[in-house]
Amino acid sequence: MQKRSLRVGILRFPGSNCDWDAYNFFKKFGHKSEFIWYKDTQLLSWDVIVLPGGFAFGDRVYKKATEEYSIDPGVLALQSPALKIIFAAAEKKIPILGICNGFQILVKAGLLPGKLEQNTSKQFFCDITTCEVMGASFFGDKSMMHKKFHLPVAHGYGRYVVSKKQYQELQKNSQIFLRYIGLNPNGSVENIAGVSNKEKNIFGLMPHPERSEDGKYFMKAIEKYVTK
Amino acid sequence: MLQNKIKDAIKEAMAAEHTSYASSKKYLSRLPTKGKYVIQGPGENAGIVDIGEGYAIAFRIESHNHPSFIKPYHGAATGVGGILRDIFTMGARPIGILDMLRFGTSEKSKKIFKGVVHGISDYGNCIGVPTIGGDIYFDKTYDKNCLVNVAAFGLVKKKNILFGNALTPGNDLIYVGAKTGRDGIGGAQMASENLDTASEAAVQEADPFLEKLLLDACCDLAETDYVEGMQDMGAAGILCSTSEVAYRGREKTGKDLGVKVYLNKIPTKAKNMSPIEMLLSESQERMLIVGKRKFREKILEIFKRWDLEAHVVGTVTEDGNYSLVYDEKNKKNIQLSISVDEIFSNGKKDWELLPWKQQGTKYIKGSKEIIKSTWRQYDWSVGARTQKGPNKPGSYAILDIPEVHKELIISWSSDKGKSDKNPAKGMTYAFDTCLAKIKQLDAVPLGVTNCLNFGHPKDSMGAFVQTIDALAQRCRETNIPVVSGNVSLYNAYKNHSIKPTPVLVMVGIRKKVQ
Repeated sequence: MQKRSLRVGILRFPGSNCDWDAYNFFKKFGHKSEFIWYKDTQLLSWDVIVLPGGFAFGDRVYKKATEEYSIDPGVLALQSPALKIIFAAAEKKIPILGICNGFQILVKAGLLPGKLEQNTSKQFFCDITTCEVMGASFFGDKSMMHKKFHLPVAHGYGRYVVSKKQYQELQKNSQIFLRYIGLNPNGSVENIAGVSNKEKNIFGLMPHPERSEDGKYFMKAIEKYVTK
Repeated sequence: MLQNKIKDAIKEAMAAEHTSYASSKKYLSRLPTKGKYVIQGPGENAGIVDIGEGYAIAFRIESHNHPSFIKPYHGAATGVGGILRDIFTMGARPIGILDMLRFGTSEKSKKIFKGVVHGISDYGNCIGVPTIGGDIYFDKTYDKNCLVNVAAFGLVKKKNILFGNALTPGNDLIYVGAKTGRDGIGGAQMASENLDTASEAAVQEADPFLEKLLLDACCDLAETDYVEGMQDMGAAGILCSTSEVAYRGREKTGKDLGVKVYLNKIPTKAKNMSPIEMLLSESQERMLIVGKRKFREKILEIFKRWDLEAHVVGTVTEDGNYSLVYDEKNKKNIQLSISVDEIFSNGKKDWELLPWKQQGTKYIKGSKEIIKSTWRQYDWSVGARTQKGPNKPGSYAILDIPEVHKELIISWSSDKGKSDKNPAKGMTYAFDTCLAKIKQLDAVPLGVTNCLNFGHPKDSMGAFVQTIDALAQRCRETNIPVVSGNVSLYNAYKNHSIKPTPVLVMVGIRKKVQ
């Protein structure tokens, strides 16, 4: 059976820096990658939309009229015209994947639960982590369940935080699809590396499958979900 | 009066060691710089070597020693910014960075070390260029002079390579990026003096997001036919960049080219900046584009897309002059002209070549813990090219270049402190270590870049020349050219010079191993 080529929209902010990685990742598997510029507002017929990693607008939030700033990943992205596309896609149940900064933006936009805060170490952290797929799996792919994957992380603000009550709810709804095994790189609650929405069509994770050999399993899951 | 002052300031700035290489250039000319893979050797913003199938690699190493000692975070961050601009100025997209760090053993040195790593991490990570390796050594000799050397590598289609030159009279000089401020004035002179005389105001502040915008916009421009040259604003900012494009154009075309720069069109962030301040400011994240006149609107459009401020601030002339137009209180549009040749007056400084006096302090490699906690702060996997990064041992990196179905091998070496006893042996050791790794990995060596960190020329020039001669000899014997590099002299405090500290980086290519 010939594989169907997916039309993939990749949301590109001026400070995205994994935009090309995401673009090439889908292209490598025979899909059609297209950039969505942050000023665009029209939802086209994408099979899946990706919010890649990076620092959407540098993430420095300046206090008015001073040179002082705080770091708040994702918050500046919310004001982008293209967020309209993301909300429209969410409404239409089009699959959306947020990686790293993309995950931070989806959380800030309220499309995914919880918060992403500064790593416990207060430092940027980059290394390869081991992650296990669980919950309702990644885009529902049963073949990935309880398998372990080697995925790099690279972030300063990846500590996933939820209240106890929220956590129980996420558990009950099987929304936690990825956890760190062994090394927890950022101090996330219960080693959470990725969560989905309740409906399981929006997924966000801090690790980078597009940088990993194991990315092919994540790709297969997306392909199956879209073409089922 | 002011006119003479400006003239003097220009000459003084361009004669600084950091811009003119007055003490070192007659020795640097001994290095072999040609080879069958060389597209561009020293003299441009970066060297370029051919990797086949229409692609090339631009690479260079730079030091940011003095600023990093004074303001560790910003000094190191702007060091990364500067070397990245050297790469994308050539039309190449940066794909990797190396950091070679040398610190003292004092408590203050440890603090500086922390700030430097943080600066490199914040800047490189934000831009999305992976830090794929480097090394860390400690030695008392660096107590008052830390060393921060950054190498960068970029991938470019051969047809997109740009040079830092103006070739055609009537074309535009376009200024793009950050506004010009008072930060970093005198930076080039600072790098050419002992550290006890340097000031904090001469260190620039860094904004990696702005650099990211410049990077993308310039890479987009390199894909077009709109520009005939590009030059980053580094040492002696506007002055150096605008005069250098004219100088290179003169050398290339033989025409009597000049430039006219309208200082009153330069966007400034500080009020009442004098012409001299504007010319010498080293505010970061600024570029000079030599744009083809008929594509002016197209060029400005690309910058607008990336939310960048761009202005036409000058024009290429054919009168052989470096002309400035500026306002003075109550008087508009004063014009000042100097011949381009006068700016590049080919200053030479001769120093006695005294034998190096051995210091004998311990040269200590950073512990495994220190090394690991450092590279974990750098994003070394962004770009999805890193086949061998700092997470695995060994002073080399492997980057995937799927565009040509090959892998880029980068090996680097310090002198392991050997230069203190015998400068020639130190350099030979570094060279042989790099080459052995390239050969072990079955790669073809393409070229080297080097950073030569030395103390005050009065006691270090002898060691410097021995180092150059040893490098030249190994290059000739192995047929591997030097395509770019950097000299950092005056790493000294009062009467203490640092040990001779060469850093060598070699680049090779091999077919992809499946």
